[in-house]
Amino acid sequence: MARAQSVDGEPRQEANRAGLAVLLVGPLVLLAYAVESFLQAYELRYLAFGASNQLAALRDLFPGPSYVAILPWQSIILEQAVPFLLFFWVARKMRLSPFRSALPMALALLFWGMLLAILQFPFAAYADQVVLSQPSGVSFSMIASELMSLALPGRVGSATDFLLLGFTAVAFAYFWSDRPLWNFRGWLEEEDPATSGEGMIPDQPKTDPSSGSLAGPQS
Amino acid sequence: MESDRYAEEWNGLFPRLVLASAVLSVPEFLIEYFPNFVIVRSTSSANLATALARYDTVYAILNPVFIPFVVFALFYLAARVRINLSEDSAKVALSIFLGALLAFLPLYLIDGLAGDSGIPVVDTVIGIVGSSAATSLYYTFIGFSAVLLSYYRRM
Repeated sequence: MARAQSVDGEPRQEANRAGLAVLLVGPLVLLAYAVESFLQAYELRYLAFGASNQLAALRDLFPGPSYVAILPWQSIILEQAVPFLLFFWVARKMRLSPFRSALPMALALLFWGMLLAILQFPFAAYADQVVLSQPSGVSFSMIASELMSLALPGRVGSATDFLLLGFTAVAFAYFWSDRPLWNFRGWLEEEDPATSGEGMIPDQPKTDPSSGSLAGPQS
Repeated sequence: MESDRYAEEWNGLFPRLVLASAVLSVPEFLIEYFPNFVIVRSTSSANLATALARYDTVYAILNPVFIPFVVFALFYLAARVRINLSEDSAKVALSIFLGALLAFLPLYLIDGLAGDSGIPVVDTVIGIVGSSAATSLYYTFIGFSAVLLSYYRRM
């Protein structure tokens, strides 16, 4: 009985560990989102409305790329690349499997995805007020009204996007442990299937010993 | 040869996923830019504000339902082919990304460069490439997860 418990407990422990690891990455992602909000407020509000005359004159002398060019790339780096790399790094370090620990990881990712989607608007409002040196008007009632607003389906969509981002990162890390993601040599030379480690493929077609033929395709 | 059962670069993997991704990207663009193309041009100015407000309500529900849920389901159906993810995960992701970019980039360019906003064209183009890449990356995450689910169900 005790042995059965320990055998059953191992996958559960591993799943819980995976969920906890993903949960602990959340604050770092939250920090990246906060930085994104402040950078956006700096570019859209401070440089446009709050900057000193000297700074405005300096920008006229040395015009850099406008916010139209910067914002999408900044968003890619802070809202997609940074979370992806964080989840990838944690999954590599802890050898997380997207198959064995799917549910706890999904719950943790959904939790953080929903929290980030809800906090995005208050973050942006707070950042606008900070960069323009205005008194803060962000309150719990603002967050509550945001929760109840029509934008709720959008928040659920964003949270699901975040869940899928996390799962993609964990899956990439999982497959990376088998072999490099991109076998550049494979593009140049055809590999011999017998020596290319095909035995490691989890859904390898089964050979029927009686007929010597392959079992039928499953898809 | 057993490896013949798996989709390969030019035999099932790239063409299928690039095409699926490109085709699935067009409705997203249409949902987002429907007011520009249809409502503004076909509605009289007196009713324009009402029509746009009504569309905003529809958009707030329609867009999150399409991305990610409908796109996920459609990618799952499109990726019903034996893919060896342990070898081809990067190729799968790249195919989906390129397919989405192939559809989004021209559509966003046409829309972004149509009017004169007073912003330098170079900045506009850099911004549009960034926006297309960001949306394509989300498509990559959704599509890759759908392929992952399909792979998991075959295991």
